[in-house]
Amino acid sequence: MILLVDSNGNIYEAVNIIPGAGATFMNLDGILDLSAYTIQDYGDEITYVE
Amino acid sequence: MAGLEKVSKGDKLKVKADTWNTFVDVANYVRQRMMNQGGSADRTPDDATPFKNTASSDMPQYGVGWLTSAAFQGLLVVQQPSYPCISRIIIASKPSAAGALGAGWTYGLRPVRVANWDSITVGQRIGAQTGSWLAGVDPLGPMLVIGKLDSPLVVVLITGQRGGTKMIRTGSSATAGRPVKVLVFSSRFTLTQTAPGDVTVSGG
Repeated sequence: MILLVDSNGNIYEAVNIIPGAGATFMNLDGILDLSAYTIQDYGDEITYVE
Repeated sequence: MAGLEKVSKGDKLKVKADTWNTFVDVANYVRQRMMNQGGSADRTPDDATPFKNTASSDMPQYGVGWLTSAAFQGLLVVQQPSYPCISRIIIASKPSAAGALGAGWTYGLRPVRVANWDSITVGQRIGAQTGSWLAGVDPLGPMLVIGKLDSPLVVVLITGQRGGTKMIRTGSSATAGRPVKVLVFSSRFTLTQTAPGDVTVSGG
């Protein structure tokens, strides 16, 4: 399980992350492909997706 | 079975020839099925699932393959694992040549080939390894070691195919493949919880 946080500070506990409309990432077998986005590594396994 | 009735202790047992022969046939069938459970090299056990090996190398019997989401003429497609932490695995019940059909298991107690057999202990979790048909230690792997056979085999319980996200792949080599616990999304994204544990990310 990982935590997803939106820009309003809402926190979601996620086991499966599903790409919705307009999203270009893939969730393939436990590997979340975010290579289409700019990523900032905050450390401590926290990642910011721009 | 129609026509077959149980008897009580002390009753005279009269068995007709065709009834007796039925019992013999059933016993032989069960014995044959038990012999096939080990997975001989030239025969597919009844509980094995056929697949196509699309890798460029031969998959050995009891090797661990990556069960991809692709399909080939209705068959599952298996590749050699190309990255760590793969959760959807299949254990080959018989050898399959590169590009050929094979068969394997996705559940149950199974023998599996491991790398570094000496260092594997009962109770450890193991999983697929990048660029190999052999399983290796993976603390969150989809197989639990139940016992050890002769090297390089162990007996595992396939505990299921996890759907959870564990790693991320990015355009940066510095962060690709790193584990993730928290993802913070910018205002371009909308997050919607569609079911417990399922979150849809839209936009971007």
